[in-house]
Amino acid sequence: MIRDLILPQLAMGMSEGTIVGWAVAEGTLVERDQPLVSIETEKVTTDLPAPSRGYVHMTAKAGDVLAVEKSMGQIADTEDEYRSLVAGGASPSAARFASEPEKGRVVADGEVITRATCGRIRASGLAKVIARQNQLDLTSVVGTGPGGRIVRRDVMEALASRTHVVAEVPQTANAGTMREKARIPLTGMRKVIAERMLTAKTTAAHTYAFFEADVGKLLAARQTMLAREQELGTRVSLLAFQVRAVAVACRHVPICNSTLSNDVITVWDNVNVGIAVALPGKGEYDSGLVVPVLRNAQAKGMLQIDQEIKELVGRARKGELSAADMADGTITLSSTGGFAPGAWAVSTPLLNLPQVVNFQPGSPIEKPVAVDGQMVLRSMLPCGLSFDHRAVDGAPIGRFANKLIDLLSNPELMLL
Amino acid sequence: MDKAYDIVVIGGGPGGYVAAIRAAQLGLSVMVVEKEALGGVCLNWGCIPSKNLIQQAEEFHTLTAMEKLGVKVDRSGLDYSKVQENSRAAAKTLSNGVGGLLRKNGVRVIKGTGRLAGVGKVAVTGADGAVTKVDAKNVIIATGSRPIEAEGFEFDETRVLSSTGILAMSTLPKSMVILGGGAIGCEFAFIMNAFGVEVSLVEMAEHLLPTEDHECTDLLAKSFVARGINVLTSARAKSLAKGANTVTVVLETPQGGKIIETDRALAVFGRKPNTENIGLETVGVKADSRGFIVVGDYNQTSVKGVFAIGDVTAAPMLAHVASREGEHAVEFIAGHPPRTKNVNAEDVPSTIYCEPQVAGFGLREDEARAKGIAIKKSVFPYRGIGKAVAMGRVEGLVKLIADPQTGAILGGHVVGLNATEIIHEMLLAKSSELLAEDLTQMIHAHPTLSEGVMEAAKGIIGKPIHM
Repeated sequence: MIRDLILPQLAMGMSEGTIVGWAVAEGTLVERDQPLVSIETEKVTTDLPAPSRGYVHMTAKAGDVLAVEKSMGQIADTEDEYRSLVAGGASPSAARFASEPEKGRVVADGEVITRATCGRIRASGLAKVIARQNQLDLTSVVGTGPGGRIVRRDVMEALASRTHVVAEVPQTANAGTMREKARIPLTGMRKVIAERMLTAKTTAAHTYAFFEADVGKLLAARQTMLAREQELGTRVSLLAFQVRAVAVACRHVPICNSTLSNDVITVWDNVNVGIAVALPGKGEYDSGLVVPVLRNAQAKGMLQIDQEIKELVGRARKGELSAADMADGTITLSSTGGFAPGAWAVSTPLLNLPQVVNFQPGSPIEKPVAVDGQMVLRSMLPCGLSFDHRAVDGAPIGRFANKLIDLLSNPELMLL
Repeated sequence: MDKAYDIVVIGGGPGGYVAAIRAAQLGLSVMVVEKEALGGVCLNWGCIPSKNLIQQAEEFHTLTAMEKLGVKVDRSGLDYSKVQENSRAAAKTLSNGVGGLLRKNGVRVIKGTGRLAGVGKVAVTGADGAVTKVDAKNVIIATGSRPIEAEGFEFDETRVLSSTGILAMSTLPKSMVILGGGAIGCEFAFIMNAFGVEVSLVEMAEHLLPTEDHECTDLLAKSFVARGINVLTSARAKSLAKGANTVTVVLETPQGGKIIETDRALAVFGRKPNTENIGLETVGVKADSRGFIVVGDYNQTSVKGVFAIGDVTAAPMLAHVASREGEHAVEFIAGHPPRTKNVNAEDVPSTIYCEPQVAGFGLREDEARAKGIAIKKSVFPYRGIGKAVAMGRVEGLVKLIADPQTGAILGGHVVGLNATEIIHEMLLAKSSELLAEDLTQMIHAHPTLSEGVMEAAKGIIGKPIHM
């Protein structure tokens, strides 16, 4: 029996995946559950095991971007079946796409038909004609018709994407006095970040607020906790205080813990705090960003929050987050504390749609402030906050900011 | 009712019962609500009983051929009530068969009139007026359609008949005027004519079966005229008056006013959706100005969990469309959405069972002209088909319409003996993206009527052999 290897939907909302690489060579006999192919989806890389024992025939190669449920190749139970797959009696070791021309390669008129009639390509008559008329090589097209047959829509899709593919140029190119250092393709995580950010920027009515909180008492409280690190089993982070403050503030101003989609603002009971985590990117120059979600922060104590943050961030850095780890956020916290300690640095973070608030604490900075007519040095935490003015107005945001200031300045209130 | 069904289907016609069986096959719990007999209009008061009448009409008509061989035929004993009983028996057999299929698949059938009664609720009113409430995770509306009753042409089912009334008719009139030259009108014109009724067939458009290929319908009209049917196209019925035993219809024709006096009138102006009083408003299901329920992908209505299939939607009012839509919706509900989200009207065959039969799909020549689509057409007449000649049934043609650039089949049309069966080879070719060339390369058995398809395909890429 020959089965199609279908790119599964690995996470909700996943529409396509990039083949990072095959773990085996064309024609290899694999055992069931043996690692077979590595797929990069929007934000995670997943290794897929072989669904059954058999000989692997690959129709998609590393770097190919496939839509969910498209065929990546086949797995044949027997060697004979495998031979029939690669057709023409090629030996299993003769990798089919070792000699495969790159996408969009111009082929001589009639070549497609020659190849088709010797049984190498399964395509409908109409698909073949359109391919020939447009000089499209059908070997680069994945069929979605009955039994994986290439049908008209597949050819039309390939033609539509061809201009894009042909436009690909070598990794670096030098023109005149301009010298390129690197090219970073907008794929995988980079592409998702690009799309989400643009959508956020062009969809939500971003409005910003800035404020400071006097975190002297908070830092002192943290010192007390750090002194008990052995006993607590963790170095309680500043982030844990901030998450706790957000959770409590949301209880006071529930509208800030809401999502806006399909013309409905949904206010949530659970405060699921997304925590922006910076990651290294694909190459030397790229960077990455994921937002794992700490669920039900409103019902958790500082210690649990701290441990869960560390666990989520740890998995994020190892690339082990699942789509579920990043789902269902109701508000986001994106701290700049790690970027520029000791500097007054906050920005205007883009919203993590459909959420309506993104809170951005910076890092505490000692600065002179006026207290009771006296200039004194205090540890101040600069904070930025973006909100979607479609959903929330200035007054509730003002209350939310004041509540955050109060909580961060008087951490004992977080006990309530 | 203590449990919520995965699907409750309102209406047990060819849309509803097929949806229910498919749902059961996919492991869903399903209930069908039907107020009359299972199988709907198609099976009880449409396709099936009319096909039985057509078969009997054809058999009766062959007596004429016998007479040519010298057989003396005495037609005086024809008892039309027996003909009609036969057709009812056929409908009953199939309806019982549907009941058996539903039982076998574990589909619960409840007798009564179903209506939406809020989100996830269907209320079923039984014959005794008692209301049962059923919980449903999904509801499929498949309540079908009924004949349009035009003002001044109201059905009394004795002299002014609907398509239902004529199927219930147990005596033959001497003469009949049929208002509407669509599928139902043409089929009954053939049936009544075959049983010796003097028939006038009135169609408002320029051609009978206005949505079929005109070359085919012109041939049909010629054949009807040769059989003695009074075919009046471009004629509009202005008024109808009932006398003691007659019906008088005033027509407006290009040649001026015309009066037809007959025993009975059959008014078949079309059908309208049964979308009133089914509780659409209780959940906010949207319908258009003509009452058709608006549906999107997989026949979802404007309300989540509510689907509509068949004649209640604006798709072609055909049993096979309803069935396929039902399967689509159910597969979507069961989490196996089919690759195509909606029935493609281009791939739906239409079939008319009068003699000669008419069948077609996809693009028509007149349509291509009107839209400025470049086509290549090939027409092969039945008289070039050996089998047709041998059978003495040379009335007919096979027409293929292809894309001149790619050879893709865009449309197929057949008029003649067995047209409704022959059409499928061409339709399979189109839906599987075969080219005319593929049809020419397949060996067709000789002698068969299907050779006409091969010859028509040859006409697209070169020249047919037998012409």
